Amino acid sequence: MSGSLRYRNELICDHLASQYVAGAMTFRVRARMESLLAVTPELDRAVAFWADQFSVLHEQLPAEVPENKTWEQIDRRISVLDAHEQSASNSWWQSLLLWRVAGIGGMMTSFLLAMFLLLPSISPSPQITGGANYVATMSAHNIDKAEIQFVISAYKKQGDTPSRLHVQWSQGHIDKKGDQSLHLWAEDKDSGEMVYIGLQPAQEQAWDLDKPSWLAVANSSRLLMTSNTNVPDSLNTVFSGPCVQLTAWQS
Amino acid sequence: MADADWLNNINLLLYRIQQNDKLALKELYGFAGGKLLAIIVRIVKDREEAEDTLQEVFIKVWEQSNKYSGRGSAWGWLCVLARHSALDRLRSLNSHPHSSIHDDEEWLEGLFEADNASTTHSINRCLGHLKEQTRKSILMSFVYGHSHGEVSSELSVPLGTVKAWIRRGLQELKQCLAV
Repeated sequence: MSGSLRYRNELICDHLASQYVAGAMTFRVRARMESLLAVTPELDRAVAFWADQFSVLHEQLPAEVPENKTWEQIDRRISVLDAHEQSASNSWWQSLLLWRVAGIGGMMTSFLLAMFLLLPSISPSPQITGGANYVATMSAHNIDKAEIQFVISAYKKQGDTPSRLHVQWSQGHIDKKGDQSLHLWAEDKDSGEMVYIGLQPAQEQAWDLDKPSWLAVANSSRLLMTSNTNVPDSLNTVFSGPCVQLTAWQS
Repeated sequence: MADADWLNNINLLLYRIQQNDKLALKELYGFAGGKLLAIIVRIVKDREEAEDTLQEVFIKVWEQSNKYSGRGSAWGWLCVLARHSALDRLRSLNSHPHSSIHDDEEWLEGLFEADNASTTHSINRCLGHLKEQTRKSILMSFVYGHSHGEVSSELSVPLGTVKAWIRRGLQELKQCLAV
């Protein structure tokens, strides 16, 4: 179970939610509250309750007429934001183009470099012996017959080595990995409750789990990767896949 | 509750914005920009600053629409976003030029009149049942963005009393709204 139980107490939820909606929190406390909202449905519900109630009053306020220049400035700023995004994406393509024309020598170098970088992540950690206990095959969410893009393997705690997850991308999809931050969730096989596991480490490295996170993975029917810390839904879920328990190899 | 079609439209527009539909942002601005500006003006008061804050709100809507979890109405989410942005603007200006609750006396009186159509809204009816000072404290805090300290100075009562009024008032409101 993630998050603190006290944020599930109705009185505390209600108090925090009303403070949040009233805007009585400092910027820092509000930021902390927003990260709690993403993982505490009770708190999120309490905020939605007070926000909805007071929004009825706000809706009754006589509307003001904004100046024409306000929209023009918004439009201009959004165009600049989009242009920056576009140019970042274009320069990425241009760098790919350079790779394409670099010739066989370049391709060979890239291949060797990729092998060099991938080998540590493909090889299981030397501290873990034996096979994975659970495996989830992850593919693009909500797409029928989507190809498996990567595999999450879960290894149970052994001695001093904590329980761990490894994320291993399929060779055909490694270029799709990109720099996006992905958040892992486990869907409880009995209750369907989503349990937040955490943000995937930036590097190709083992992902140590504490006991509650390990239990959440072990009791899950499905793992999901989201683009933000909000509870998984059709908008923020990027990858999902069934989580299955593996039996031990028989010698 | 507010007009259901109006609220549904806001929900749909925010959904489209989450899909990067820029036209939907413009439609939302036409649809709710004036209402959001009214919320901001109550807190920031200075018209120019309020218009700048409205700009910030729409940039945030464009960049952070995925923060709306779908729980509660999109309009409620927008109101909270607008209020937080207005209060942040006030803090950055290091000033406290909130509109006075007295500037809106006519509007406020209308909200709680027994024969007024607006009392069909549960929140109006329930606020109308509260003691005057409790209702005033809640409105100053939740509509005009005053801190508890500011409410205490404005009403010339100790801070602890204001906090107690607001806490008890919210409890009574919740009970009333549940009926």
